Amino acid sequence: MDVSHIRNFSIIAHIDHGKSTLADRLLELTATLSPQQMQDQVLDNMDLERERGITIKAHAVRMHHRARDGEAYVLNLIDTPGHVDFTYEVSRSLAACEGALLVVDTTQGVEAQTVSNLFLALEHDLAIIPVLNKIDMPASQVDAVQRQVIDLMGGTPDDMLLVSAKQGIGIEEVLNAIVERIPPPSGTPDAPLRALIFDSLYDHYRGVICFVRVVDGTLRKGMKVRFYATGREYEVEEVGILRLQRLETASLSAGEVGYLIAGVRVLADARVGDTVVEAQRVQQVTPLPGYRPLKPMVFSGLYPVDSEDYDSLRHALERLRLNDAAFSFEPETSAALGFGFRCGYLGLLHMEIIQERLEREHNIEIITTVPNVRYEVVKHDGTVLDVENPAALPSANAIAEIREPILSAQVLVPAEYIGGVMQLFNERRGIYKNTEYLNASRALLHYELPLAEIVTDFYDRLKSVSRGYASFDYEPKTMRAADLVKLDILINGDPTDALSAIIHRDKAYDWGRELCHRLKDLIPRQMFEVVIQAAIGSRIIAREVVRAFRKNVVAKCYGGDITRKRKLLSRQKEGKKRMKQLGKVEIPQEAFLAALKIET
Amino acid sequence: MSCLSQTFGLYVHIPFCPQRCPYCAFTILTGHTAFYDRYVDAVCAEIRLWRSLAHKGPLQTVFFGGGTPSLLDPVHVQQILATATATFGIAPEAEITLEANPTTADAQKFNAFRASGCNRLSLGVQSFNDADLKTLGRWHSAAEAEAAYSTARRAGFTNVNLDVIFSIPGAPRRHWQSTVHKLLALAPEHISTYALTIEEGTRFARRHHQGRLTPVSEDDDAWAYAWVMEILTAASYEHYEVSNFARPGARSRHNWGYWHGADYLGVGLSAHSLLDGERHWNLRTLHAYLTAVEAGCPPCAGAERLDPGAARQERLWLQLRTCDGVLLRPTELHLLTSSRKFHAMFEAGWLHLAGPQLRLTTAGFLLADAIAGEIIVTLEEARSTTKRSKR
Repeated sequence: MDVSHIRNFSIIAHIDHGKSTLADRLLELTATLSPQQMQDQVLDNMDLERERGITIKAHAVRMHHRARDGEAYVLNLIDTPGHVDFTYEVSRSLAACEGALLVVDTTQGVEAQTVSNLFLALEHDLAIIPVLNKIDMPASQVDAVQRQVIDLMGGTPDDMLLVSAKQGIGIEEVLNAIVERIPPPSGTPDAPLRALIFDSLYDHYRGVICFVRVVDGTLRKGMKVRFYATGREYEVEEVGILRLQRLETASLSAGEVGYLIAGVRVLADARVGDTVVEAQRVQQVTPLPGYRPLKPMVFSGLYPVDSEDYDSLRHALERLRLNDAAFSFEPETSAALGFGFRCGYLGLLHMEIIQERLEREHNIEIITTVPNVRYEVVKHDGTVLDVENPAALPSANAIAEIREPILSAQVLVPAEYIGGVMQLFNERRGIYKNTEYLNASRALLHYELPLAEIVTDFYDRLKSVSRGYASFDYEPKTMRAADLVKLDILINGDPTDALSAIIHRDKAYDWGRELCHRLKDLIPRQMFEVVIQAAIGSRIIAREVVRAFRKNVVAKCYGGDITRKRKLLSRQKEGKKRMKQLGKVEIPQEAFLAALKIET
Repeated sequence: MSCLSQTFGLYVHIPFCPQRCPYCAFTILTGHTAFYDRYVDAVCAEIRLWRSLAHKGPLQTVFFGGGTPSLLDPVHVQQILATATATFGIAPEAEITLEANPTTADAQKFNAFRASGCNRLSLGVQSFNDADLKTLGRWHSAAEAEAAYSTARRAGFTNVNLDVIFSIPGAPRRHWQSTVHKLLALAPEHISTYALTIEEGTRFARRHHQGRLTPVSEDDDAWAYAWVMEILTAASYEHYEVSNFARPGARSRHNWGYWHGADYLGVGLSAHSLLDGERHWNLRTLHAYLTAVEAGCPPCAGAERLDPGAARQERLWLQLRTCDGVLLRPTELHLLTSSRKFHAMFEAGWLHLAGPQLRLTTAGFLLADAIAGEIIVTLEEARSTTKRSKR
């Protein structure tokens, strides 16, 4: 394959700016698929993705295009996930490209993700083609958005393509610009093999399918390869290119994008960002830069509502993990909730997706505990341990310091909402760094922010303080010590592990009071009084009481009353089964979610 | 009480009422006087449809409930009792109860009811306070209620029940106290005290939703019940079921049958029956009921047979509502006494256990439903855990 006729590119954009629609048009115009095959937003093939309007799992596709010079080119579109939780995956996809289309919705303008994705692309030295989308819309403000883009990355209005992906306007120009403005790959076909795994998926029949960009050398069927990071070796069973389906080829050579099947059994062995090298020539190569193992950032307990569903839940989690190397879980036991699992996610969206898939695809009702981050706890004896579950926190007198993950966060916000946004970040223990004005009316605020502060209701709050106009993005930055305490909730004097939280001392009082108050509303009255207390160590900071029944008996029980009463009792019985018993009182499942809704 | 399961009772539902009370959610019909004859004929026809049950006879109890059975002409009652006698036989010592409202019968009528064979009268007094009676939408006064009681006595009713209601919205505690004192002065053989509940679909419920009626607080409701239990038992009434008090020997044998699984046949609109472990219930509209019976078909709207587990559970909570409580089976006793929750209820002073006989204390009666629910769940969960661990 002639490398000079290959172009590898991605499309980067803020959510809903039209990335998927543009991809559809490119596929259509290059006759990669017929209009009959056309399903809206072909690249997103999970229901959940379509509903949420975001691409969760990246895919790649090869197109053919005859450019203005009359030559035929191969264009590989490498799709990228569109959410902040998947930044690392985006960066690996970008590493497989030489250029990127930066799509900006002209009715919305530049957003936080536009900026962060652009910076990510620039870090990889990609050629950037700005594509201004939705120019057919009445609310489109092409001039203003052109100025925003120039402010952001320089250039002139002439560099920008004006497009309506929906109406199919300007698509041919996009294809031509890809050929003309993105450089061909620069690898050496004769050098030892180096291929970047930028994505993978699990197939029930074939095992793991790796999506690769061959950087140097050639990948052939039958070749013995080693995955550099894991050190595991495999024989290549099949290589090929990606149209809408996989298309087997004899080899993939430098500059090409395709797939690799090599009898890899588990997804965790085909790590995104890893380098595939020829087993015999390991010594002659250095791996491609930028690999890092995926580490879950957010954790929560998942428990079956019905304890008999424990095995099905484990089975479902195993199946989800097959297809999602970033998701982790291990068994845990809660005094309040019984047997369940502690699960790790890349972020909140990732968590929601997993939970929704469990309920929707696997039909298992689950109780989720309050999500938390991973803490580093330094003990007085100098040992450091990772704590992913507040219940596992050592006692306060053993702890020298607790460190929490800090994010470098940026929020792009119209000037009139800056005050509200700053106040929100302030409440969330944000440390202000600086402000960049993209133009007179839009500012990019930079903050350092504890991850723990965004795992509850941050997004909703940001939306409300900015009327939905602020866009937010972050990347993990460091671990930092903070004055964190463990807040326990006691039910009738017994600590309830599933409701414990690690929280900043300054917020513990409000949090505890608010949580007790909510629990009081959620816990139904019953035959025994329920005393709800919040405590830090042995100090009680809040208390609420759910009064016991004074009288609970129907007066009449004759003839037909008996059937009615029996049905009522059996309904109550079912209700009780859905509650968790703590000592002599019962707590409904919703109570365990109460903490999710707390604003502090 | 094994003999009770061999008793056989007849319940006759008389759905007619002069007007609908604002708290009432029963199947009743106002007006419809033109239908009385036809309805009574249908009830008799329905009784004859069950002649296959003759071997269960003779009847130990008959209960005319409603509705307002005293609206009927005594001839109607006679006709029904004659049909029952012809079909099943009525034991000479049988308890035959008629429900009556104070102003629906005069001396002559009471005499005639008594003469027809009724030997127990249940009078719907509800309150001896005129303001309460007005709240309840009753059409009689306290004086009329008292007069009706005397009339019944003169007519030869030596076994009389008075029905009273507590927790009437807006009524101060002293109304209930004076009503109960009046009861004690009249000294009926039997007293039923019902807490007013606001049932969906009633005028009270509508007024409650509109904010025009404030139900009595739970504290006041609990007080009224606890107080009446104390006063009536002190006055030598036996508190033999959640809502029922009787002089020794004057328990309602018919109702006792309901709570102990006795066979009973219910005839008339919407009546329920329990026969050999199967429960069935009748159609609820007059037209459908009459059409079915007149065509010679049983007017049955539905039936259920409980599996042994459910039947046992039902027996547990029903008997727990009575003074005798329930005789626990050895496994039940074992499962309960190893439950933490059961111990908590026991320590709270709500339960009394004498050997395998479990019953509620006075404090326990206040929470009878919650306690019964708890016991059922405890038994069920303990059983399923045992099953699982065996697996």
